[in-house]
Amino acid sequence: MVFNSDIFLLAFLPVVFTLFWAFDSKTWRYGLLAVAGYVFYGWWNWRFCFLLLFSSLISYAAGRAIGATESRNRRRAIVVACVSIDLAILGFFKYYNFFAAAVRAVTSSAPLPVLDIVLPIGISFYTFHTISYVVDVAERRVRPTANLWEYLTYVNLFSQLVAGPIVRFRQIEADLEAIDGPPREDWMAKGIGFFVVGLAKKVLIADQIAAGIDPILASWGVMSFSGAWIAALGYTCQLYFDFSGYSDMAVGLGFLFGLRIPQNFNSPYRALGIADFWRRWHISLSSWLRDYLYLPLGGNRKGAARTYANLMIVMLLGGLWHGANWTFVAWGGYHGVLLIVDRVAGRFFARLPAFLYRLQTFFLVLLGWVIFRSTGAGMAMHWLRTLGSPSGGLPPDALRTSVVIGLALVAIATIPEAWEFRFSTDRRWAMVYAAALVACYFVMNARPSVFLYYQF
Amino acid sequence: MAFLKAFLIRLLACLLAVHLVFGAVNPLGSFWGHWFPTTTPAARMRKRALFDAWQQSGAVEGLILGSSRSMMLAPKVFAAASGRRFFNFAVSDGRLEDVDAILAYAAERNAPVREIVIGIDPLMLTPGALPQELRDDWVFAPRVEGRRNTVLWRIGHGARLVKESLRPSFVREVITSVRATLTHKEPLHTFFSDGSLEYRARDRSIASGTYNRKGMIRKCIGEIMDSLKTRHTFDPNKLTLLGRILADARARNISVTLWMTPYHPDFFREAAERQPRLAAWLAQAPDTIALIAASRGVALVNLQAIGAFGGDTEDWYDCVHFGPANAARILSRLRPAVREGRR
Repeated sequence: MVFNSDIFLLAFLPVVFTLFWAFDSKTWRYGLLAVAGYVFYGWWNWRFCFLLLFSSLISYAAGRAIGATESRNRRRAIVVACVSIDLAILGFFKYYNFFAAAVRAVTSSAPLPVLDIVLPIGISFYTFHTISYVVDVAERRVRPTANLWEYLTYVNLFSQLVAGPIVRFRQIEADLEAIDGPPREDWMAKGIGFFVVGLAKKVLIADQIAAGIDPILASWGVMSFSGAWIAALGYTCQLYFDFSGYSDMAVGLGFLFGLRIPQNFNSPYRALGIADFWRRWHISLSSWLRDYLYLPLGGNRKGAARTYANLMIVMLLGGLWHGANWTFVAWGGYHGVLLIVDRVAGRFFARLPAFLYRLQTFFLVLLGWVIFRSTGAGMAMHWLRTLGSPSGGLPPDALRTSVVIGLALVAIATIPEAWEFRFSTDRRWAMVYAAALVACYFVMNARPSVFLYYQF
Repeated sequence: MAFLKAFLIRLLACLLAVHLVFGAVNPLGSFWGHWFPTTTPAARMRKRALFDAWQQSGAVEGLILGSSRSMMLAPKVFAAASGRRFFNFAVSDGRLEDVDAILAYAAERNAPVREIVIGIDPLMLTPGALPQELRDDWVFAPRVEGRRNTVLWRIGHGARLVKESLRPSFVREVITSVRATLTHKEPLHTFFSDGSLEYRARDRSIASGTYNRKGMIRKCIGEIMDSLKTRHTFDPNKLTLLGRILADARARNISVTLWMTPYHPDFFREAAERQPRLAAWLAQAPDTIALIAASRGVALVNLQAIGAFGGDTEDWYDCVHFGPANAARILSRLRPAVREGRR
């Protein structure tokens, strides 16, 4: 199920919302949200609900076991066992065929058969949820919950289940504990406001850009210079509006159910430098990688060489997390190099006028998205080459697409994130949200689409 | 929850206001308004109303059925040949499912139909989705879907139509309809009380020498070739439906004249050059249809080629819609078959 679908907007959300506020006990509300999560997830393929349940039960049991022991070694052993199981599941479903193909390419034989595996959507996200919980419990950053329904609510929360943000248990623990509280007027206004802003980002901007650039990218072999630039700029905007739109909708849904989901985007294309970009883009993932990978590897505490190596490892794995394709690995490596350069020469770049530094960062990120969006090395190389070789004519519908992208870029440069809006409880705003929702529905109804991050 | 309540009330008000405007303008004829012109022929809805009125002024004994190509045929010619009161119930983008639904509708209205003239085109027998207008139709759609026209069905159908109206394309239709009213634009299709059609605006344009016939023929050829590019094959279900319609008619003692509608010669020329497989399929299609018709005791009058009725290559609106002179020639070719049916 996707947020911008009839089944979600006209049936699932109204029913779950009404039942949630009709119940007044913690247990019933936990139960409802946990079951709603399975319905939301199972709408795609109910069989994978069992995988989700298995992963949840393993990490819940691990949390309880860790909480019951004082032995550091025992805690570590449980963490290693649980994380290994989680990563084994993720590795099998997401990366098995990728590595089988890689092994075959290296050995020129087929020691590992290629299997017909369906990738469970959202597996990368909920695996990171469960891992963060177990590690945080072991590190005593969070107390293990004894309430299974509360834990299932956390893992299955439909607003973040399939495409994030990667929320840590400790970030919403207080709200989960107070889930039986009465509805708050200001949170309702925020919930509706965030949701409408997110939906507008998705259907009014991201999907309109996609309509213009998808045909260019589908025939990338004959891409012209202008087409390459339109596609690169377009995809840069599309990805931001699509994913940040999704994140805003998730935050809005959270507020509607009394849960504060943390910010995932903070005007990333206004970043000054690549390190700053990663503090603003997909914040829940970059902070997860920092806290659960970079810092345990030693972070920047073990000298310059080790820091650079750690940065590279983290970014390569971060790239691979997005999908089993060498282009994601290359994109991760590219950002690893940029982060190292940023670390080495950051002071020099910082002397540039802010506008130029911002533009430089934007341009470097854009080149990264070219690699990220490419289906293979051939497409990436061709696209990058075409960006630097002025020739050829205009792609079909170039003017309309360019205007939409231009407006999107102006919005990126001038309009703040929804987090900076003051979602007033003044009823005049209710009319604005209602009209905006109807307008979004018109566009969405004409061209249904899914969120880009569902594939990761 | 006061804000939420305010939001939901306003959301409902917005949706209601939108539906009130869309329903009142009713550009596709699927809602309740009747003050603005439809942007499509809406032939199914309009012809039902004309049929009911025609039936009130005297029992309808004969029906002209088929697609928009049959709409030009004047019922009075068949009436004169057979002595029966005819009505032209051909509809735009008509399919065999329409024929089936119209015959059921006429029976429900107690029309003592004894004679039908079905204009058939191979396109009606190809696989693919049914026309939107038929799927949206409040009376024919349940029959086509094999459902009963219950309250529950009507609620579901209405909800689907409302949902499908919430699109930018429908807004454009609403604007077109309102603009046509404000500018007093003459409708493309003018239906007479006996269901037959006149392209009044087009005829005036032809008379004044401003009608771009060649352009229209070229555009029409491109569209039909595109639509048939991947589906120039018979759908077995449609062939079965044709057989059933003919058998049902025979069982109800209704005599049938089945005729194949013509294409402009340029279409055959282009098809032979650009899509030889399509041309070959079109050439052998009459034999397939004739075989089914013969098995039900019905003869096929094949007027697919212009030579079959001594047609004029200039009297066309586009590559499939012929003008009044060609319509008269076609009628004179069909008249003996109808007269034969009377005996």
